[in-house]
Amino acid sequence: MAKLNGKSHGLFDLLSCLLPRIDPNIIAGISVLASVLFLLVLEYEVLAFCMLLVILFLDWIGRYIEQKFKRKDTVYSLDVMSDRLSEGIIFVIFFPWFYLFVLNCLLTVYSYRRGTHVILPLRQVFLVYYLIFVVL
Amino acid sequence: MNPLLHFFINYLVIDALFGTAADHAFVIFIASTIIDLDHIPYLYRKRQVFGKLGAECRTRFHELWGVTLVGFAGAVASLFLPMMLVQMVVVCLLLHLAVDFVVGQTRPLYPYSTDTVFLHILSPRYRPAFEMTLTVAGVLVWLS
Repeated sequence: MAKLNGKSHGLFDLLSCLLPRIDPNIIAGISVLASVLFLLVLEYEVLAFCMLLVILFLDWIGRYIEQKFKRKDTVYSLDVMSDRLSEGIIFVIFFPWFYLFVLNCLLTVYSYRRGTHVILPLRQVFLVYYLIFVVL
Repeated sequence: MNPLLHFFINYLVIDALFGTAADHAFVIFIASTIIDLDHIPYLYRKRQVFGKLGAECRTRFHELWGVTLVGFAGAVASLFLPMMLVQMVVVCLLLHLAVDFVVGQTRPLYPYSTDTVFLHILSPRYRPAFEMTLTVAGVLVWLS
């Protein structure tokens, strides 16, 4: 049992207290930095795969906090910029994927101008590709 | 971030990735700093050289529009130029944009939106000292 403010809490209670205090915008920035770390550990395939998991987890937790706690301080433009930067940095070494990243950038601008959200889930698909064709 | 610090950060990452940063130092320097040329019109209008620069000093080349342009140019260049060179230049450009996005004020969807975002990862109060320290450390490592 962990203690917070002098009271004992289970893990779930602890997360319920901590998560609303986390700024999802900062998580978006950290996921971009994690993408750079992915490049630096590429030589170690399992570690790189773990970094990919971390990046996608950060992406998910940011969106979860934003939706669960109805944060008004999150900005759509920040989300899409951090996602595209993360994709660009990850895929620069995997060049066929880089072409899809360019397509995703164009789709992002198109989506914003049209008021829709048409984006390819490239990192999620790449995670599966990386596991099957690189790690295993 | 000042151009010199961009160069040092990119040099380290390129060296870790490809191991040939020393052979391509000039290319890394150009690719790391060329995007900051878009500050010149703003600095000329404001008659300012040093000081705090906000999101308005950056043109669309620093935002998602610039990311898209870098991606498109890299994709086209990869068809004609050596892949390692293209990857090096694209890494430098994207890292420059990423660092500016993480530490500074940006307008990601400019010119389509003027929403300004700031991640508060690095406080503006400590940023000059942080930048100066890292830049000096970079110079010392480079000279050693």
